[in-house]
Amino acid sequence: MNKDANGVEAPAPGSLIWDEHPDFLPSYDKKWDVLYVRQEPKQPAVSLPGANGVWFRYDPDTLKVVGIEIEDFEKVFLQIHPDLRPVWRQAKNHVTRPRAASIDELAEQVANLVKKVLEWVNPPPASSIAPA
Amino acid sequence: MATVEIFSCLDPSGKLVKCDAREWSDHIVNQHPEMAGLEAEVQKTIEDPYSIRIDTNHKDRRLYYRLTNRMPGRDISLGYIRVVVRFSRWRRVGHVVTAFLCPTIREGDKPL
Repeated sequence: MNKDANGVEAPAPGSLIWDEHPDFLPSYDKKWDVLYVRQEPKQPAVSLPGANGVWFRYDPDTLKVVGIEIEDFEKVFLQIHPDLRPVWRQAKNHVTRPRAASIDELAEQVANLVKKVLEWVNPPPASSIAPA
Repeated sequence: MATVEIFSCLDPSGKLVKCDAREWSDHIVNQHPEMAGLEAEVQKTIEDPYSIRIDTNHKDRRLYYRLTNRMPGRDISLGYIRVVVRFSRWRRVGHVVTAFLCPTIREGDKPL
Protein backbone atom coordinates (compact mmCIF):
# COMPACT_ATOMS: atom_id res chain seq x y z
CA MET A 1 0.00 0.00 0.00
CA ASN A 2 1.24 3.50 -0.84
CA LYS A 3 1.97 5.99 1.91
CA ASP A 4 2.30 9.72 1.69
CA ALA A 5 5.12 11.80 3.13
CA ASN A 6 3.44 11.72 6.53
CA GLY A 7 3.09 7.96 6.53
CA VAL A 8 -0.63 8.10 5.92
CA GLU A 9 -1.84 5.07 4.05
CA ALA A 10 -3.60 5.61 0.77
CA PRO A 11 -7.03 4.04 0.37
CA ALA A 12 -7.36 0.64 -1.21
CA PRO A 13 -7.64 0.51 -4.99
CA GLY A 14 -11.07 1.40 -6.24
CA SER A 15 -13.86 -0.52 -7.85
CA LEU A 16 -14.16 1.46 -11.09
CA ILE A 17 -12.84 -0.66 -13.93
CA TRP A 18 -11.50 0.74 -17.18
CA ASP A 19 -13.22 -1.98 -19.21
CA GLU A 20 -16.59 -0.74 -17.98
CA HIS A 21 -15.82 2.90 -18.80
CA PRO A 22 -13.99 2.91 -22.15
CA ASP A 23 -15.73 6.17 -23.01
CA PHE A 24 -14.16 8.10 -20.14
CA LEU A 25 -11.90 10.92 -21.30
CA PRO A 26 -9.52 12.98 -19.18
CA SER A 27 -8.96 16.73 -19.20
CA TYR A 28 -6.81 18.74 -16.85
CA ASP A 29 -7.51 22.27 -15.65
CA LYS A 30 -4.07 23.64 -14.95
CA LYS A 31 -5.32 26.89 -13.41
CA TRP A 32 -7.18 25.13 -10.60
CA ASP A 33 -5.25 21.82 -10.60
CA VAL A 34 -8.33 19.71 -11.28
CA LEU A 35 -8.31 16.48 -13.29
CA TYR A 36 -11.62 15.52 -14.88
CA VAL A 37 -12.23 11.99 -16.12
CA ARG A 38 -15.68 11.57 -17.60
CA GLN A 39 -17.97 10.51 -20.35
CA GLU A 40 -18.41 12.73 -23.37
CA PRO A 41 -20.67 14.47 -24.02
CA LYS A 42 -20.94 15.73 -20.47
CA GLN A 43 -24.28 15.31 -18.82
CA PRO A 44 -26.09 16.74 -15.78
CA ALA A 45 -25.09 14.87 -12.65
CA VAL A 46 -24.93 15.04 -8.89
CA SER A 47 -21.55 14.97 -7.17
CA LEU A 48 -20.64 12.85 -4.17
CA PRO A 49 -17.39 13.38 -2.25
CA GLY A 50 -14.88 10.57 -1.94
CA ALA A 51 -11.46 10.51 -0.27
CA ASN A 52 -8.49 12.73 -1.07
CA GLY A 53 -10.31 15.47 -2.98
CA VAL A 54 -12.10 13.14 -5.38
CA TRP A 55 -15.70 13.88 -6.41
CA PHE A 56 -17.78 11.25 -8.15
CA ARG A 57 -20.42 12.37 -10.60
CA TYR A 58 -23.48 10.13 -10.72
CA ASP A 59 -26.22 10.03 -13.30
CA PRO A 60 -29.19 10.84 -11.04
CA ASP A 61 -31.50 8.44 -12.84
CA THR A 62 -29.32 5.39 -13.38
CA LEU A 63 -27.09 5.99 -10.31
CA LYS A 64 -24.09 5.06 -12.44
CA VAL A 65 -20.79 6.90 -12.16
CA VAL A 66 -20.43 9.10 -15.23
CA GLY A 67 -17.29 10.92 -14.21
CA ILE A 68 -14.83 11.86 -11.53
CA GLU A 69 -13.16 15.11 -10.58
CA ILE A 70 -9.93 15.17 -8.62
CA GLU A 71 -9.17 18.44 -6.85
CA ASP A 72 -5.53 19.30 -6.16
CA PHE A 73 -4.47 16.58 -8.53
CA GLU A 74 -0.77 17.42 -8.71
CA LYS A 75 -0.52 18.99 -5.29
CA VAL A 76 -2.15 16.21 -3.29
CA PHE A 77 -3.36 13.22 -5.32
CA LEU A 78 -0.07 12.52 -7.08
CA GLN A 79 1.74 12.72 -3.77
CA ILE A 80 -0.52 10.06 -2.31
CA HIS A 81 -0.27 7.91 -5.44
CA PRO A 82 3.33 8.12 -6.69
CA ASP A 83 2.69 5.18 -9.04
CA LEU A 84 0.71 7.59 -11.16
CA ARG A 85 3.52 10.07 -11.73
CA PRO A 86 5.21 8.38 -14.74
CA VAL A 87 1.87 7.94 -16.47
CA TRP A 88 0.95 11.55 -15.69
CA ARG A 89 4.22 12.84 -17.13
CA GLN A 90 3.45 11.10 -20.42
CA ALA A 91 -0.18 12.14 -20.61
CA LYS A 92 -0.23 15.65 -19.14
CA ASN A 93 0.34 17.55 -22.36
CA HIS A 94 -2.37 15.59 -24.10
CA VAL A 95 -5.05 16.38 -21.57
CA THR A 96 -4.30 19.88 -20.35
CA ARG A 97 -6.93 22.43 -21.27
CA PRO A 98 -7.64 24.23 -23.49
CA ARG A 99 -6.33 21.39 -25.62
CA ALA A 100 -8.60 18.81 -24.06
CA ALA A 101 -8.43 15.26 -25.35
CA SER A 102 -10.87 14.10 -27.98
CA ILE A 103 -11.64 10.61 -29.17
CA ASP A 104 -9.07 10.97 -31.95
CA GLU A 105 -6.43 12.00 -29.46
CA LEU A 106 -7.00 9.10 -27.13
CA ALA A 107 -3.41 8.01 -27.38
CA GLU A 108 -2.09 5.11 -25.42
CA GLN A 109 -0.67 7.28 -22.69
CA VAL A 110 -4.00 9.02 -22.19
CA ALA A 111 -5.80 5.70 -21.92
CA ASN A 112 -3.16 4.55 -19.45
CA LEU A 113 -3.80 7.63 -17.35
CA VAL A 114 -7.51 6.90 -17.11
CA LYS A 115 -6.84 3.26 -16.25
CA LYS A 116 -4.40 4.21 -13.52
CA VAL A 117 -6.63 6.89 -12.03
CA LEU A 118 -9.59 4.55 -11.92
CA GLU A 119 -7.48 2.04 -10.03
CA TRP A 120 -7.00 4.50 -7.22
CA VAL A 121 -10.41 5.98 -6.64
CA ASN A 122 -13.26 4.39 -4.81
CA PRO A 123 -16.78 5.74 -5.29
CA PRO A 124 -19.15 5.99 -2.35
CA PRO A 125 -22.32 3.91 -2.59
CA ALA A 126 -24.94 5.33 -4.90
CA SER A 127 -27.45 4.93 -2.07
CA SER A 128 -25.89 8.10 -0.66
CA ILE A 129 -27.84 10.06 -3.23
CA ALA A 130 -31.19 8.60 -2.26
CA PRO A 131 -34.04 11.12 -2.02
CA ALA A 132 -33.55 13.58 0.84
CA MET B 1 -9.79 43.33 -21.81
CA ALA B 2 -12.34 44.10 -19.13
CA THR B 3 -13.73 41.20 -17.17
CA VAL B 4 -17.43 40.64 -17.65
CA GLU B 5 -19.24 39.81 -14.44
CA ILE B 6 -22.19 37.48 -14.12
CA PHE B 7 -22.89 38.92 -10.68
CA SER B 8 -21.29 40.41 -7.61
CA CYS B 9 -22.78 40.19 -4.13
CA LEU B 10 -21.98 40.22 -0.42
CA ASP B 11 -21.79 37.13 1.74
CA PRO B 12 -23.25 37.21 5.28
CA SER B 13 -19.98 38.53 6.71
CA GLY B 14 -19.93 41.43 4.25
CA LYS B 15 -17.24 40.05 1.96
CA LEU B 16 -17.61 40.96 -1.69
CA VAL B 17 -17.81 38.00 -4.06
CA LYS B 18 -17.68 38.20 -7.85
CA CYS B 19 -18.45 35.67 -10.53
CA ASP B 20 -16.79 36.24 -13.90
CA ALA B 21 -18.52 35.27 -17.11
CA ARG B 22 -15.51 33.31 -18.28
CA GLU B 23 -15.30 31.32 -15.07
CA TRP B 24 -19.03 30.71 -15.22
CA SER B 25 -18.93 29.29 -18.73
CA ASP B 26 -15.54 27.54 -18.70
CA HIS B 27 -15.36 26.12 -15.24
CA ILE B 28 -18.90 25.87 -13.97
CA VAL B 29 -21.38 25.20 -16.77
CA ASN B 30 -18.92 23.53 -19.14
CA GLN B 31 -17.82 21.09 -16.46
CA HIS B 32 -21.19 20.83 -14.69
CA PRO B 33 -24.02 21.10 -17.24
CA GLU B 34 -26.59 20.83 -14.46
CA MET B 35 -25.65 24.37 -13.40
CA ALA B 36 -26.90 26.01 -16.61
CA GLY B 37 -29.38 28.73 -15.73
CA LEU B 38 -28.66 28.61 -12.00
CA GLU B 39 -26.77 31.91 -11.76
CA ALA B 40 -29.37 33.40 -9.41
CA GLU B 41 -29.30 30.33 -7.17
CA VAL B 42 -25.53 30.47 -6.95
CA GLN B 43 -25.69 34.14 -5.98
CA LYS B 44 -28.37 33.36 -3.38
CA THR B 45 -26.17 30.59 -1.99
CA ILE B 46 -23.42 33.11 -1.31
CA GLU B 47 -25.75 35.76 0.09
CA ASP B 48 -27.85 33.48 2.26
CA PRO B 49 -26.14 30.12 2.74
CA TYR B 50 -27.23 27.24 4.91
CA SER B 51 -23.60 26.64 5.87
CA ILE B 52 -20.20 28.19 5.22
CA ARG B 53 -17.06 26.10 5.61
CA ILE B 54 -13.34 26.53 5.15
CA ASP B 55 -11.81 24.19 2.58
CA THR B 56 -9.55 21.74 4.40
CA ASN B 57 -6.85 21.93 1.73
CA HIS B 58 -7.18 25.63 0.91
CA LYS B 59 -7.50 28.06 3.77
CA ASP B 60 -8.21 30.83 1.27
CA ARG B 61 -11.35 29.12 -0.01
CA ARG B 62 -14.81 29.26 1.49
CA LEU B 63 -17.45 26.68 0.69
CA TYR B 64 -21.04 27.91 0.63
CA TYR B 65 -23.92 25.44 0.79
CA ARG B 66 -27.62 26.09 0.33
CA LEU B 67 -30.52 23.67 -0.01
CA THR B 68 -32.06 23.48 -3.44
CA ASN B 69 -34.86 21.61 -5.15
CA ARG B 70 -33.17 22.00 -8.54
CA MET B 71 -31.44 18.64 -8.43
CA PRO B 72 -31.30 16.77 -11.75
CA GLY B 73 -33.04 13.44 -12.10
CA ARG B 74 -36.56 12.35 -11.36
CA ASP B 75 -36.01 10.81 -7.93
CA ILE B 76 -33.89 13.35 -6.09
CA SER B 77 -35.96 16.06 -4.50
CA LEU B 78 -33.50 17.99 -2.38
CA GLY B 79 -29.79 18.59 -2.29
CA TYR B 80 -27.26 21.36 -1.96
CA ILE B 81 -25.70 23.88 -4.22
CA ARG B 82 -22.02 23.96 -3.34
CA VAL B 83 -20.15 27.11 -4.29
CA VAL B 84 -16.38 27.42 -3.90
CA VAL B 85 -15.06 30.97 -3.50
CA ARG B 86 -11.39 31.90 -3.38
CA PHE B 87 -10.34 35.00 -1.46
CA SER B 88 -7.00 36.43 -2.40
CA ARG B 89 -4.66 37.13 0.47
CA TRP B 90 -4.27 40.82 -0.20
CA ARG B 91 -7.69 41.73 -1.44
CA ARG B 92 -10.97 41.27 0.31
CA VAL B 93 -12.74 40.32 -2.90
CA GLY B 94 -13.61 36.69 -3.49
CA HIS B 95 -14.05 34.98 -6.85
CA VAL B 96 -16.25 32.01 -7.57
CA VAL B 97 -14.03 29.05 -8.49
CA THR B 98 -16.66 26.40 -9.11
CA ALA B 99 -20.18 25.38 -8.24
CA PHE B 100 -22.14 22.16 -8.54
CA LEU B 101 -24.96 20.15 -7.00
CA CYS B 102 -24.43 17.53 -4.32
CA PRO B 103 -26.70 15.55 -2.02
CA THR B 104 -24.55 15.99 1.08
CA ILE B 105 -22.16 18.43 2.73
CA ARG B 106 -18.61 17.12 2.57
CA GLU B 107 -17.26 16.07 5.94
CA GLY B 108 -13.91 17.35 7.14
CA ASP B 109 -14.30 20.96 6.09
CA LYS B 110 -14.40 23.16 9.19
CA PRO B 111 -17.55 25.25 9.67
CA LEU B 112 -16.89 28.96 9.67
